[in-house]
Amino acid sequence: MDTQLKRGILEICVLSSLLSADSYGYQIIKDVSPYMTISESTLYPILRRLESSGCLSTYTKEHNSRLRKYYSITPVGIEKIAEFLTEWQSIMELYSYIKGEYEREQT
Amino acid sequence: MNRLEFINLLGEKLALLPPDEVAKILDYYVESIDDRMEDGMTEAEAIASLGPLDELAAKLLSEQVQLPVPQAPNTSAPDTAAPRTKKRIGAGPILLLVLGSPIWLSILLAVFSVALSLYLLAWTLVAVLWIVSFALIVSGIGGAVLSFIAAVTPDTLAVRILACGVCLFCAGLGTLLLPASLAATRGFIRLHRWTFRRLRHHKEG
Repeated sequence: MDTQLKRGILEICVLSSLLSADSYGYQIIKDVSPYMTISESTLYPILRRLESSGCLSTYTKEHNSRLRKYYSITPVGIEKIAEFLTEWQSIMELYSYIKGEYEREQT
Repeated sequence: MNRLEFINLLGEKLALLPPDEVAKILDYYVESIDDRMEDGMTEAEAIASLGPLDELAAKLLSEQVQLPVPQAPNTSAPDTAAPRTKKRIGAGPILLLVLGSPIWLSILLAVFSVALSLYLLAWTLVAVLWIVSFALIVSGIGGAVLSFIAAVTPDTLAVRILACGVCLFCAGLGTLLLPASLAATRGFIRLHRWTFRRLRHHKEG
């Protein structure tokens, strides 16, 4: 898959994993990896980018006598997911048109 | 390699990044390793699962170059875009500047003219002081000498002495004015230097 496209989708995946509850780095990787391959070094820049664009906020909480950084989705982040969904709605329509034309040509 | 060695090595490899950014990255990886160990991995397994250290550092360094411009993704040259801190002037202010030029240009010109005339006036005052004191001295001494030499009218000695006295008084007045002129000149030179230094500072700062 195109790296730029993959990065964009990964951002949305990470944001979606925060919709139900706030989460931390390793948990996000475990949540997202069934759908897309994601490593720690891929996740870190994504989290930084999302944080600097205001899509998520962070806080630290004590866990087993150490500090763990939690990520929480913001209204801006939720808006970004909504934008992604409407954008992909039109992409899906294009997909079915292209697929239809292609299959008709093949048969 | 244990956790501490891993973090130290990673920190060294990221030395090009700002220190607070490196601290954030290291915190993130310490947390990752701790979470994996808590999940049942050994320390070595947890570190190995993060991938080769060099690859990881290279990836973090390359990503970091793109971070300073979060508002504008796909900027063609991030290395030139990052240090640019000057605000770009939009079309609106420029249009306003052009349209308002009949007003602000004439005001600027007027302010400049007033400043220039005040400056010239100050120097004229100094020049006047010098001229007055020299005129008094020259005419005073000249008058005093002439009052004895010239015999224009058949006057008395008393009149000659009176004229000489008046002339000498004028010469004395002129001499007294000399230090005052000198002080005024020095004062204005100091004022002149101070003003221009201030202007230059203003322009540089």
